[in-house]
Amino acid sequence: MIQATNHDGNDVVDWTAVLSQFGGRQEFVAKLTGIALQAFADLPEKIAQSIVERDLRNLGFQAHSVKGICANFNAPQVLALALATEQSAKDGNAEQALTRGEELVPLLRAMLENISAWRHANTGGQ
Amino acid sequence: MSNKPQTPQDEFITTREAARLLGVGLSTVQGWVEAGILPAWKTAGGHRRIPVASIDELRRKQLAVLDAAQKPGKPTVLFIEDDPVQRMVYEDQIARMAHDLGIEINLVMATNVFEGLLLTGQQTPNLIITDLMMPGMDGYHLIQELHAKLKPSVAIVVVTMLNQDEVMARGTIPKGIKVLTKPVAYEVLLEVIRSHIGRGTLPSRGTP
Repeated sequence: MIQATNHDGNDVVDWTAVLSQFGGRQEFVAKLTGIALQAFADLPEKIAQSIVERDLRNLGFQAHSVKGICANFNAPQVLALALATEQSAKDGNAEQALTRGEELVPLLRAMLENISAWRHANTGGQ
Repeated sequence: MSNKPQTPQDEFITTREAARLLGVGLSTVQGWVEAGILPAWKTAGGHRRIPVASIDELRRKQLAVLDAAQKPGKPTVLFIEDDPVQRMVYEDQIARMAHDLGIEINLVMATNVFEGLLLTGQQTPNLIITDLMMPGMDGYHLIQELHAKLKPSVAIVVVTMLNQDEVMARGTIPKGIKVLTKPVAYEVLLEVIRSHIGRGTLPSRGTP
């Protein structure tokens, strides 16, 4: 089971940075978490499917979508891996793209779990 | 693309007629047909024919979205963005901006390039802020078409997760179109709004 923290035991998402980005408005960030969880719940599975099908075009696009999530939920590790996956896919470096994609899937799951956990802790699970 | 259906010839129109009715470019309609967004069949000579009913449906969609958003006489900003979280962030930023500037802004949201082109076919916004990498038709096609159709009256700003080198490597952005990297801070978006809409009507920088 992937934990919602990185190897240092810290959150995957830098919540201090996220709250700072949105002026400390916890209620608004909570709204965003709800939308993100709904919109991206199946993204890890979609990426996994692209890897199975060796579909670099979709994999690159999905990695780009992960970068987009990181624009509003600051997650440096996830962003770096999504960037590397997208770049490898774009370059046509299949093995590297697939390997990086395989690493991205659990990290993205951990990120979504972290978002869910933050939401639960800050909205009482609503 | 399907075979010719068993319905009267006069219920179908050409791609050129469809483009005129929808207010979009011919290549856009052709792209929608190829992508399966618009149903069509081909004549023996290879010409596409599109059901009038599907065009009517798209026009109804254009008008419905615009009716929902329209506040006559106010500047209109069209955002084209597939990420729902980012759309929520834009909505929040524009609402705060309208409050801070003491103005009303028509905010129109398109969730993909298809909707974006459809909406600009019906109404000309003052400013278009668009993502670049979106499913289906990408933002480069959109920008080329909008730039050709709306230039120079409408400002287009690109907001993307690509860096400047990637933006240039993947396609062509016409000169004069500003490219910003996500996330776009409130102050940066505020400057975009100030410089591109309501020239002379918005309070200048530093105005309380």
